[in-house]
Formats: sequence, C-alpha cells, structure tokens
Amino acid sequence: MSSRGRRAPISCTHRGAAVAKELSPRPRHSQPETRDVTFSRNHLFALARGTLILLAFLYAGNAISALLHLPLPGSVLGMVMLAAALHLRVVRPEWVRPAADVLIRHMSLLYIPPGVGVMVYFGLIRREWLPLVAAGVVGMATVMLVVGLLQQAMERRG
Amino acid sequence: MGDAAAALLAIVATVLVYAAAPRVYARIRHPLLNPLLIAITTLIVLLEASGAGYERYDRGGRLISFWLGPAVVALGVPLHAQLHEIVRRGRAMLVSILAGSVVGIVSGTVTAIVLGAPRQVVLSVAARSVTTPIAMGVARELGGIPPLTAVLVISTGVLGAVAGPALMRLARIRSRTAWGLAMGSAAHGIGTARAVEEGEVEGATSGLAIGLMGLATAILAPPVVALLLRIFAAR
Repeated sequence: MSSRGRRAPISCTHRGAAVAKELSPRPRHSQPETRDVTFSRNHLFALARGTLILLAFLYAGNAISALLHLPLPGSVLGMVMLAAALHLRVVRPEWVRPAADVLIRHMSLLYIPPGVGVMVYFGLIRREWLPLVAAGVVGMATVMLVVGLLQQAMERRG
Repeated sequence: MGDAAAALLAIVATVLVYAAAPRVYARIRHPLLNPLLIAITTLIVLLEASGAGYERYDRGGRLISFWLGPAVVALGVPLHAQLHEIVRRGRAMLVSILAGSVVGIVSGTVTAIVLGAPRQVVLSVAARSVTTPIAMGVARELGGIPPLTAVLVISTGVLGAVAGPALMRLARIRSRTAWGLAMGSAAHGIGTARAVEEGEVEGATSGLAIGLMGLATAILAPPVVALLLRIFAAR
C-alpha cells in the first residue's frame, strides 16, 4: 500500500516517531512500550489536523446514515469512507495517523465510562444474570472458534 | 459542586484510574483480572461510596466516551494499511467474518431466549458481538438497552482477552492471521489490546476484524434477530 514504508512525519521526537511506527501496519521490528509522547508545536498541529479529519468523517457518516436510513452507525460508515479516501489518496495517511494512533492506543480509556454505566443496571443484571452471563460466554467462545478454525482451514487449503 | 466542576472531576478521576490500573494489575497479576476491569470496578466503588451516582459522573464520562466515535473512524487507517492483506486473503476473511457474525448473533440471542430473558435483554444481547460504539448503535436500532449492551461487550471483551489465548491453544489455532482475526471478532477492542501484545500480525488482523465484524453485524443483526424472534415466538 502507499503508506507502506513511508513513515508518518510526526516531526517531534524520536519517541513520537517510534509510537507512530509501532502502530503502523508492519514495522521492521517490534518496539518496546513507549507510552509517552513529547509534545511539540508541530505534533499538536498534527494531532489537531488528524482529529478534525476524523470528526469530519464521523459527522459525514452520521449524516449519510441518517439521510439514507442505513442500519449502520455513522462511525462505521466513517471508517469505511476514511479507508476509501486513503486508498484514493484524497486523504494522506500522515494527516490522520497522529490522531488515529492516539485514539486506537487509548481505546480502553474510552470504554471506562460506558463500563461504569453497568452500575445503573445492577438490579436488571442481578435479576437476569444467568441469560446475560451464559449468552456472553457462549457468544464469545463460539465466535472465536468459528472465525479462528474456519480462517485457518481456508488458509491451509490456499 | 457545579456541573462543570463535577464533569472535570469525573474526567480527572477516570484518567487517573486508567493510568494507575496497569500498575495495580502488575502487582496482582491474577488471570481473571484485567486493567480495564480494575479501572471500572474502582470507579463504581468510588461512586457508590461517595453517593455521587452515575448521572453526575457521566456528565464528564460522556466527554470521554464521545471519542469512541472518532476512534472507530480511526480504525479506517489500519483498514486501509491492511487492504493488500484483505485482498490477498480476502475471500477467506470475508467468509470467516460473515460466519462469525451470524454465529455471534444467533448463539448469544438463542442462549438468552432459551434461558427466558425478557425481550429488551434479548435485544441487548443480540447486538453484543461487536465493538462497543457499533454495538450501542445496533442495540438502539433493535430496541435493546444500549448501556446494557456496552456492559456485555466489555465483559465479553475482558473474557476473550483473558480466556481466549487458552481456548485457541486448545483448538490448535496456530495461524497468526487466524488468531488475530478470531481475537478481534470475539473480543473487539479489548481483545485487540491483547493481540497487539502477541505480535504485529495478530494486532493488525485483530483491529481489522473489529471493523469487518462491526460492519457485518450492523447489517445482519436486524434481519437475523427479527427472524429468530419470529421462530421462537411461534413455538
């Protein structure tokens, strides 16, 4: 792909570049955990530009999903449109990568508030714990086995 | 406390707990624990103890979870970067993900129906098998309870990240792309965080699986769930 081998020009520190590279599709060698990014003015600009592009695709996705009454959340539509825009080189990977890397890297932080929301449903969960737990365990295990085994079998067959 | 101050406090507390959780986890290292689980539990205990309640917490929490939307859009970057992989293994991946998506919707929904869960709970379970922001959208679409779906997605994500590697060892899933694809489709973002630890191929395919699985399930869930409800209502 076009982005391959071309390093995102996060013009800050070596560490910033290492972070960008770590999340790039196939780094030459694996990087150690580098969580801190030293901010420079350029990096802040790159983050702001990336964030604005991501938000633009999100709101475009929301608008299209609402207008066409699609069953897809706007964010998924935005994801596909972003991949398409990158492929068609309307958007360059290095424009979005600084912001995208931060969001993907800290995705688990974003899950905390909805996770804390469980407390509102403690009553419902206590009443319906068996179907909830069983559906979760069965659903997770079946998906993992079906996807993993099927994919492996098809790869072996070539 | 004013609204703005409460929101600010909620954000600061969430970020602090998020930053501290991996350190606590490194001390305990219990296989049934996970940094995210530690962070969520800590905040719930804090909120229950202080009597602040979720409503007030979420004034700040909303400002954090808002970024899940842009984060899903951001997955377009690895999606584009892996386009050649999708094209190369395209047919296999599409078949696996489509099968996984249908299996995820059907197995969870049927389990919940058979065990006698009320309709709203069934609909929340049906949307469970994809990443949180998509799942919440699908749950809303189906008429489930989005926050309950979010809770289910997160708990199954933690379960997948914790128990998944052992399960796949038992099933002899050795292909790295198959490993990553299975982890991402069954355990979403939290599974992907685990897959990144495993290796680059696993991490990338897992991230890709989140998007593909989300796409497939968002399209397939409404008709499949409608069909299942009709089948089981007829009995």
